[in-house]
Amino acid sequence: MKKFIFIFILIVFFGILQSSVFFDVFKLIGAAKPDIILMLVVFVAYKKGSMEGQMVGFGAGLFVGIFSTALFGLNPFIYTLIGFLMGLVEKKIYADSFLTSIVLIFFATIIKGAIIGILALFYGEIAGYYISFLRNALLIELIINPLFAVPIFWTLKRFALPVLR
Amino acid sequence: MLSVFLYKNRKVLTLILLLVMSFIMMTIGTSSFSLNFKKIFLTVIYPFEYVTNSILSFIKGTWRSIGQLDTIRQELNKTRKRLQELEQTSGDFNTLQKENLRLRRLLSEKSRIPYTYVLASVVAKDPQNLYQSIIVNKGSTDGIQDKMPVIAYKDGRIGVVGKVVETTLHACKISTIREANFYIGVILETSRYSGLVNGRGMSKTIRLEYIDINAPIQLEDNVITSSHSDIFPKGLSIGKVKYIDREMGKFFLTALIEPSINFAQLEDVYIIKRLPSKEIEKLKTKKNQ
Repeated sequence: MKKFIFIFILIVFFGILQSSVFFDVFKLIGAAKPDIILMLVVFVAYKKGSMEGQMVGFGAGLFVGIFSTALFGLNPFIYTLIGFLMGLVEKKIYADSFLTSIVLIFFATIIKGAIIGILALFYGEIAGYYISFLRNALLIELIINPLFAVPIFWTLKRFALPVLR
Repeated sequence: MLSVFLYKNRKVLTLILLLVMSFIMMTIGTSSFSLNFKKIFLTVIYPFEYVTNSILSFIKGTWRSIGQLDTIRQELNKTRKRLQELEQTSGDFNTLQKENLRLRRLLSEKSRIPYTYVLASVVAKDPQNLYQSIIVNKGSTDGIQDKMPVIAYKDGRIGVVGKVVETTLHACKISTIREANFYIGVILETSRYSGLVNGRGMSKTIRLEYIDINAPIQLEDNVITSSHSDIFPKGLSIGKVKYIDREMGKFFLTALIEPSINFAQLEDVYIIKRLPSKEIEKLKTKKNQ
């Protein structure tokens, strides 16, 4: 129960932070901002496995959907799948350096782009957005997400992991 | 046997269940169920969002103030000197007159909007780079309803921001003209040729389509809302033409428009209290059926 409440607080905190006007200051390159929700999902998946990863992904996706005009269900789909896939590397990568977080988030961002791309084939509404996302955001996210992953993973490891264990 | 199978494959089965749930939510994404679900959450979350935004804005403001302390000190010294000069010359009426004019201009900005409106501040933006919506601090208690047009003032002109797509008690979500599924009927201000504008997501420009290939369109031409839109009043500024694509053999040309509103600096918006005509809405519903 304690874990559940803690994860819920983390999702709410990350969700509100990412959607706040203040977060625009992190638009380091171009107009794209880092996806710290993705980092939270990948962190939990990497440390706790696929089951926890996909559950947190689903919850975080639902929460993020509240602030977005996105199709309700799009974000849960993306983050659930990422949570599951990233959870597969649990106990397979033992090196716990900053490089691990960079590599994990880099691949998670690629997977995110791929999932949106596949969904765009089925949902016309997403297709229009996807072209713009590919052109303007994905490449930037591939750079800024891994950069932000280092401090976010460090903070989560230091303060959140003891509670999640 | 079944329980062993379920236990062994619990991870994959949970994944399938969650993905199916997401798919169902996407499929019924436009139904009232999911919108109400979102509304309830947004109403509950809004106070937290508001408080977080206020705290972070305070921290940002304080941090900026510390950084500007030296500049302010220099400005203060300059001002003191200037004040002394002014006192010595028994007051510079010209300067006072200019300052007065500036304040009058700021005041008139509000009075020049010829619609009934509600002034709102931006409190949140879409968390995903895929979408470009914003959330403002006025909701149904202030008389805001879905489909109300949203505008802002920039360089003496009223520019289109977007339209209200979801309303809760104290906040509402605005779909901006930058969003890829946002369409609006427009005309070229000088030649009066009509066309259709739609957003391009994160791109700085928006796309203008279906303009007659023979239209005398030029760079820096103003694009304004047309009377074809039942949501937006006509004559509101959309932006300026920045690129023209006139392909041979096509009936229409395409152009890229730089929006009048700088969305990165957008802090306050005016929500116009005007709804689409019920008759037109009825006709649209009939046509869709």
